[in-house]
Amino acid sequence: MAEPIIEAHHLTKIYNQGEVKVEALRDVSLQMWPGEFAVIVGPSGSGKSTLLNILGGMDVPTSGEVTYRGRSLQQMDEAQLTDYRRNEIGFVFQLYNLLSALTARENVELATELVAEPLGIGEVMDRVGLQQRMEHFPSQMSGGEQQRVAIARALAKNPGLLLCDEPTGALDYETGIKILGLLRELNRDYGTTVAIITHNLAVADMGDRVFRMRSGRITQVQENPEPVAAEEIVW
Amino acid sequence: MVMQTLNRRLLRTVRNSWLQFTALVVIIALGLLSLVLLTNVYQNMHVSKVEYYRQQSFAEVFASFTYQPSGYIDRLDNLPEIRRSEGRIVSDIRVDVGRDTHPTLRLVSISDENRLNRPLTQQGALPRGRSREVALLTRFAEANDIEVGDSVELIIRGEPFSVEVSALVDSPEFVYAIEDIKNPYPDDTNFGVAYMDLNLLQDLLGVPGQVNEATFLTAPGVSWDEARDAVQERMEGRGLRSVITRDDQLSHFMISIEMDFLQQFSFAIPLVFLAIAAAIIYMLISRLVKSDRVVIGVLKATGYDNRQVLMHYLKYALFLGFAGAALGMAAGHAFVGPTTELYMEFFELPLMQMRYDWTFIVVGVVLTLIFCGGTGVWAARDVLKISPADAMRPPAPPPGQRNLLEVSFPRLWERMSFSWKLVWRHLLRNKKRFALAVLGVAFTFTVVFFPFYALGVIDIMFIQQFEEFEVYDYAVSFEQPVGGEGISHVGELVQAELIEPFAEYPFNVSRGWREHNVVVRALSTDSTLQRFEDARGGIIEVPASGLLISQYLAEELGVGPGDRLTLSSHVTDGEEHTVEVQAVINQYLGSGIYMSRGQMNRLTGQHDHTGVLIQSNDDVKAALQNAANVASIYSTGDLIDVFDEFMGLVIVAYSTLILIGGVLGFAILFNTTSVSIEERAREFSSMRVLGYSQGEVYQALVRENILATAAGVILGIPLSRASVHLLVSMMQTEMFYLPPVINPGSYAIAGILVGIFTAVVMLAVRVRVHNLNLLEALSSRLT
Repeated sequence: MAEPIIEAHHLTKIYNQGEVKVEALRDVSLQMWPGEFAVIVGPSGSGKSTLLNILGGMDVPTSGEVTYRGRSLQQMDEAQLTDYRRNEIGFVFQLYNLLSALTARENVELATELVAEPLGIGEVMDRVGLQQRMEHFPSQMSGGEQQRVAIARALAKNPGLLLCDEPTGALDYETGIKILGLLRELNRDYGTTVAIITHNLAVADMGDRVFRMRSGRITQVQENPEPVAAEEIVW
Repeated sequence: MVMQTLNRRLLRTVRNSWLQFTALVVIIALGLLSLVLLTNVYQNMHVSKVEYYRQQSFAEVFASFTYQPSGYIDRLDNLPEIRRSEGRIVSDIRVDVGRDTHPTLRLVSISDENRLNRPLTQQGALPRGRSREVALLTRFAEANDIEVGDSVELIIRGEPFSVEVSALVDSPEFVYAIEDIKNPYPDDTNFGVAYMDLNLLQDLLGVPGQVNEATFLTAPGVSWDEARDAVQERMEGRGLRSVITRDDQLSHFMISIEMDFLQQFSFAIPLVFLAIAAAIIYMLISRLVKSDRVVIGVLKATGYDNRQVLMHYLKYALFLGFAGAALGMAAGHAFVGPTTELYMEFFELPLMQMRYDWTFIVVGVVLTLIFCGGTGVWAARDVLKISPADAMRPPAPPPGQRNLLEVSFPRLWERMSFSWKLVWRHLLRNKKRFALAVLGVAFTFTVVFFPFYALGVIDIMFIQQFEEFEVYDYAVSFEQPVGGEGISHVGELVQAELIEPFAEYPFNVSRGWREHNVVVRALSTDSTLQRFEDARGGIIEVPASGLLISQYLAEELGVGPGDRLTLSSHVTDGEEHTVEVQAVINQYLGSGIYMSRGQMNRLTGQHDHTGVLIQSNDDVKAALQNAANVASIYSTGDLIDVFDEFMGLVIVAYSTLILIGGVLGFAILFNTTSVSIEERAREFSSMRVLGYSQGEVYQALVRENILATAAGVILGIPLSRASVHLLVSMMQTEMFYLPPVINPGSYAIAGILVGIFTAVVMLAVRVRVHNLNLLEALSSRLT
């Protein structure tokens, strides 16, 4: 059996907000497999963003451990964590987070600059359907287009794991569907492991596996032998 | 009450950016400090000076002439332009104060009838009647450890004459006590003034019933110039050497230059500081309003009106302004006393008034309101445009477009590395802020550059003056002109390598309506001890006919080579001669006109020598201290020594200037960089999440600041050049002619210092980049 690409062991995360302690994660363990399309679903405050941030090496757990291809993130220093984000992880955010001063191409270039063997910029832009919009600035693009650029940017590094935090949260229905379809397509074509977090239950039907979260715990892990296509989802 | 929560938020904003806040407060404080300090010091000095002159009846017109019967002089007050005239004797002699060398002492006669130029007694009592007493100028006495009751030996016509010091005095005539215009710094050890009874002095000098100077007060409604002209007309042909108004009186002239500067700077400096502060406040607040978009929307949705929200940001500006103003005015207040005293001591000006003019508090508050408050409102005006509904939507990305570099130099752009593109994109998109940073650096460069220019130029002045132009060690002036045997006599007294006689006479030099009183020196055409350089830097000889004129006088009289000047003198009995200007010469210390002995002979018919230039390692002052006919000995070595002492003060002043430059540079660059970081926190975090290291993000900022610094330094070079030219044109006087020659090294040093300031800023903001919270920046929309 293949090794999991990433594993979380008994993660807890406690935020100190003034005198109040907020338990964002309580004993969360999971595994994701290479090439898997995973959906983490749950209401807001369930801890899914915290989990994603910890998996992506942007935040540290209060206890527990994350291992990526057998290497513990908790053993890494700041430089190694940067390397990890640089070479293994692609992030897609709800609010795109493009650099407004850079063109679409340059936003992708921002990522390709970093890694030794990136995908071609032309290729990824073509894949996200923005070949013709490469020289446009974010202000000249619609939200969907901006999110495509963000996906192209994450993908271009050819990461092992693509982490998407509410990627359709700021988009209208049709555009959202298209973005989800794109992510699924990329997952199939490039074999990139994709983890999407969302509060939208309808998206769960797309996942090979679905992790349901509530109050900082994974309450259910559901295998989906026949995930539906993005176009068939309705919400 | 409603606003209390907002005020708390304001305080937190201040706390979170305390270093930015402090840097700005310091700039505002420096502005108000300079306003309060300089204006008050000026006021105190001005009032003291005016009052001192009035109390001691400082004369308004001064005439100097060959000895004349005092009765004639006293009758000059029957001129309608003159209210009062008084004759006196002024004569420079040597005095034995128990040191190896004998200082020059200017004997000034006084009598019971004297009302003008009365010395102010600090200690003891003025000499009475014919008693063998003198009153000494306080600073000379102090420099030479002389006290009331001590005896000193005057050397008059070669004979010692012992007198007792009956008093220590100050005088409005010697507030700035220098021997002549060639010695620009007071040298209290080697030059002093003594007041002595008129009759006694007449006897000692062998001129009974005669005087050689007159001082005047003008009649009501008559200008000093009119009075001067009247005296000149009346005395023409009666041995008149010169008539000047108080404006040209040496001490008054020097103190006026200093006070004029003080007055000009007291307004210019605060305005510059406040303008810089206003620019930074504008940047900070407009950025704050931008990042507070959602907050403003929420506030408005909650029910705050435009005025209240605007007030929130205005308070930030006013808080800054008044914190700076309070600090600056308090510090200014504290420094007024000591600084006034320092000035008063430098100029021997008795303090008539130490007042703190509270109206400057009002001026300061009004200025702060205008600069900080006005800027605050202007910067926050966008608050009015924000509607709550718009503010709640995620902000549209700021528009992007091809930048200038990309459009104009596409090939260069293509070849540029990506990380540099990133830097350029950002800079060209925030042009205003970049411009502020560049201007800030350019200004800092100029402030820092000036001291190095000045030090460099002082070096040039002194080295050129004493190594290339005036290569003699001493210039000795005789009381009475001598023939060849007199020069031989000097040669016997002094171990000299070279002695060159010269003749020097005062002339009235004019061209059209412009005129000037100048002591013209005649030298042999092959003089090696005094050499000349024309404006292009070529060495020139003294021309057999015609004259050489220093650039200051050439500008004053509006002449150049080939022009003709009219010269007249008491030696020519007022007869006018026209002489052609052969060349304008570089002379940095003092100013003058030079000609050949032949030319002087043609003007005056005089063949005798009035002095000698001496090149000698001997102590000529000591060797000649008992010589009968020696009026004064000018030593280039002494001048350099006195100057060196002054350099200490100069260096302190310049270091302060560099420090201020540093504070300015830091405040500007630190603020622009901080704003840049805050504004791009999300972008930087995105880069960090993508896998950029802290160092790489930091590097982008460093590069931006390196570009701003480089551009600022490049702009700073012509800016500092222009400032130097402007300042130099303001500062040219008869005593100094600052060559606008800039040592390229000064640019380099200023550039390096500015680079260091930038490095300090980069170190200070490093923490901010390291503290960027990846998660907060990406998830939070509220600030």
